[in-house]
Order: sequence, then C-alpha cells, then structure tokens
Amino acid sequence: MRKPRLNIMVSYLILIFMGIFTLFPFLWTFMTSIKTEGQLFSIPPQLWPNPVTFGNYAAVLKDGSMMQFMYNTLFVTLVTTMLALLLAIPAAYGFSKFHYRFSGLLFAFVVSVRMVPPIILSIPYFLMISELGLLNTKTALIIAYLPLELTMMIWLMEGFFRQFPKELEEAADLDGLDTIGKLARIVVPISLPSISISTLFGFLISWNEFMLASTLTRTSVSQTMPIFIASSVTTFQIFWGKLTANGVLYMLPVILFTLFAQKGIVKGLTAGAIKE
Amino acid sequence: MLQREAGAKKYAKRQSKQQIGIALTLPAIVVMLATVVYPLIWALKISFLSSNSILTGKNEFVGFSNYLNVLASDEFSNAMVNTLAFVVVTVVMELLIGLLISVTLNRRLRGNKIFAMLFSLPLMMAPIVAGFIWRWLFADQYGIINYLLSFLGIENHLWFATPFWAKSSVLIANLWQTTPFVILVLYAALSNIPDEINEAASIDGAGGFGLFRRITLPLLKPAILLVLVIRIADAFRIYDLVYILTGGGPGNATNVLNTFIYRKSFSDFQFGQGSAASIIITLIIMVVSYFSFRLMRPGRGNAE
Repeated sequence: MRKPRLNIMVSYLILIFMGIFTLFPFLWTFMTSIKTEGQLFSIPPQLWPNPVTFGNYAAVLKDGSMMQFMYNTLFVTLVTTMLALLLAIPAAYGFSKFHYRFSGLLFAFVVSVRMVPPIILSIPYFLMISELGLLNTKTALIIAYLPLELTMMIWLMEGFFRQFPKELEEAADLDGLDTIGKLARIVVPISLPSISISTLFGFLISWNEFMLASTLTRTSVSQTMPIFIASSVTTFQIFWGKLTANGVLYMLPVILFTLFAQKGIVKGLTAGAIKE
Repeated sequence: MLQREAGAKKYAKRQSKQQIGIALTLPAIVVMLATVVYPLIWALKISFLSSNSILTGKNEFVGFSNYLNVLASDEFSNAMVNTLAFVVVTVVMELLIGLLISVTLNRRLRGNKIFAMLFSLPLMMAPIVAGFIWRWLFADQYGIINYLLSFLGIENHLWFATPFWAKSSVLIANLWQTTPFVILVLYAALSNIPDEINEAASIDGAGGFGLFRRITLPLLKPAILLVLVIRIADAFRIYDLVYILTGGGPGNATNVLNTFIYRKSFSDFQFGQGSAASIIITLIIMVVSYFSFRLMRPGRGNAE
C-alpha cells in the first residue's frame, strides 16, 4: 500500500498526542512523588524535581499504615482469586464442552451478572454481612468479590475452552483419562496462557474495587488501598507527596502486569469481540 | 441388534456427558445463586419496605411508595439526567476517539506496537487511581493543567467550582481511563480484516474515507456494537471517579445515579428508597443491554 509522506506525519502526530494524553498523568504522578513539600508548591511548577527525593516513599513505608492496607488488599485479592479459579475452571469447561438442558440459559445468567450494577448488591450485602457479624472483616470483602470475579473468569475461560482442539481431548479419551484427569492433565496445562489472562482480569476486579469496600469495611483491619487513597484525598489537607507515593506503589503491580501481559490483555479484552 | 446396542451406548454416553456438565458447573452456579440471586431478591424485598422498619427489623410493607418517592424527588431526576447525559457524551466521544486512534494504529507504522501498549495503561487502573491523579492535575493553584493554561492567558481556572467544568473534568478523566478499551477492541477487530479486502476495494476505485465508510465500517460493526454494550452498561455504573473527583458537587451538578443511591442508603440510611432506585437503574441497564444485544445479532452473522 502506498503511504504518502504527509499522511504518515499526521498519523504520527495523532499517535503522539494520544500518547501524551495517556502517559503524562502517570509521569506527573511519579514526578510529584519524588518532590519535597516545598518543590510541590513552587510556582512555576518544577517539571523535573531538583534535587530528587525518595523521602515520601521512605515516610510512607516507615509509617506502616500503608503496609497494612496493602496487605489487606493483597490478602483479599489473592484468596478471592484462588477461590474463583477453583470454581471457574470446571464451570467454564463444563459450559463450553458438556451441554445439558438449561446449560445455555445458566451460562447466559452467569455472564449477565457482569451487567448488574454492584450498587444494587451493596444494600443487601451490608444487611446480610452485618447479620452474619462479618462487618469490617476481610471475609466480607471476599464474599462480595467472589461473584464479581467468577462471572468475569467464567465468561473469558468459556470462550478459550471452546476453542480448545477436539483432537487433543479425544487423544486423552483414548488414553483412558476421565473428565477430571483430562481437565487437570491436558486442558488446563495447555490453556495456561489463557487461564492466566482470565485470572489477571479477575484479580484486577478485587484489586481495584472501591464501592463495596467502602460500605463493608470501617477500619484498617480490613480496609483496602482504594479506601486509603480515597480517604487521603477527601480529608481537609491533602499531602500530595505521600499520596502520590502511595498511589505509585499501588499502581506498580498493575503497570507491570499490563506491560508484560500485553498480548494476553488484548486477547482477553477482545475475546468477546472476535469470537464466533 | 448390534445397531440397537450402539444406539443405547450412544444414549448412555450423551446422558453421562450431561451429568458431567452439571457436576462441573454446579459449584459455581450454587455460589452465584447464594451471592447474587439471593441478595437481588432481598434488594427487591427491601425496596417495598419502609426504611425505618428495615433498621429495627420489623419489615413493614409499604407497597410502591419507595418507588414513587424516588421517582418524584428532584434529586433523583437530576441524577438521572446527569447520568444519561454522561453516558451519551462519554460513549460517543470514546467511540469517535477510539475509531480515529485504532484506524491510525492499523496503518502499522513503525512503533505502533509500543503506542498500543502505552495506550492500554490507564485501562487496567482502579477508577480511584484515575480520580486522584486527575484531581491533582486539575488542582486550582498548583495544578499543572492550570499552569499550562496560564500560557494561553487563562488564569486560575477553577475546575470544580462551576457545574460545566466539574462535569468536564469527570468526562476528561473518564475518557482517559476508558477510551483505551475502545481503542484495543477496535484495533484487534481491524487487524482481523484481511488486507485483500482493502486491496480489492482500492482496485475498484474506493479510497480514503470512501473505503473506510463503505468497507471498513461495516466490517467493524460487530466490534463497535460489543464496545457499545459494554461501555454503556459500565458508564451507567460510574461511581468511584465522581466520588473522588467532585463528590457529586458543586451542589448536585455531578451527582449521578450511583452517588445518589449511595448517599440515600449509607448517609441517610433510607435503604428502602436506595433499593428502589437501584432496582430502577438495573432495569434500565437490562433493557438497554437487551436492545443492544438484539442489534448485535444480525451484524454478527454478516461479518463472520
């Protein structure tokens, strides 16, 4: 195809403009986190801080409250994701390969939960969880996040398993493997990349969730990072240096995932778009 | 005789296949029933009870009065108008920007993979992160955006003080976070269009915008509809970003359905009205999603 020079320049301009819009907020957040309080409020703003300081990070790590929120987030997210995986893998495999009466309808129900706004669950969750005496516990968050992760993971994995080559399964049948053996020894190992991507999308749901956490948790025993960040922003005086340092630490795992799993992310996002 | 035996075997195999299917999916279904369906039924029940009686445990039935109160309140209709306006404006803008960027990426210029990777970054972030980052960017006195605006002669612009600019700031921060989804899905769909189709079309004399409108756009239709369904449903649920960026203010200017329901339920403890409002918006989302899915079906058949 011919590509006139002017056209190429315009294309690059569009991409660069979008790149700045996308990246600058991240860069500015990072720059803010390596400034002293004085540098933060200098006019004109310093684009590149001089000298660079990691004092905000040291302060945040030393204080320890961030570590508690981070631990809560990690704990809730990991436990929820493990439970969701244990339930979602067999369910997605069943929905994709073992049809029974109503299985299509049940799958549609599971997927449609993705469209239900979580706010409708917040009031019954709040009342149920208080009745169970689990308000302000990590267990409460795990209960609330499990269905959100499940619906995402089952939806994605069903698509991936449906494309799993029939021949491999038939070969496993000939080897005399039963369904569980086939799933554990053939299907899961071979689908590992797709399963990882589905897991990542599930993981992010819990890692990023804010609204349900704000109704079900009260103190640092169970509160997660989004609550911590939100409460630092809505207080009277905002310490932007420390806040951005917290934000960077919270974002870091997600940024690394995004960069390393790029191909998979596109695959996961478009699983619905381009699957037959 | 032999045939019959084979038939019986086949039948038994099919039946056991169904049983396996039930066994594999049952645990997840039970969990979903307990954590979604049961609470949903409860939400429905609560929406017909008086709020005071829920807190005392007396559960007094009040019919549709929660619904009527919600529908009659100015606060709700304001939140409804704001949400609908937000959904329409943000989805249209995301789609237009997403089309422009994905088509540009699909020219496969050098470095386009890196651009695609960078563009995807905001998508994976928590909405709370998007909120605090943009709040700092939009800050009155020390915000970098106001500093840059000062070169254009705009001094001390107050982003969160007037309804129009508060709405714009929510819109911009949301575009930053969600346009990448549109870009990535459309880009993936575009790269699935075989080169031969474009080549054949340009031999036929179609070029530039004509090619895009007559060939590319129809082929993109299923992807565009998928993006629409997901983005409309998600845009209706906006909460975190508004909470942290404007808190619904100034006044009620950026109050959306979710902030309205949250305030009704967890600040005013009007669980009855909160539930009624959340049932109303769930029904709206369901109806909108249903019609978008209906739209999607014929397009799908054509493209594949």
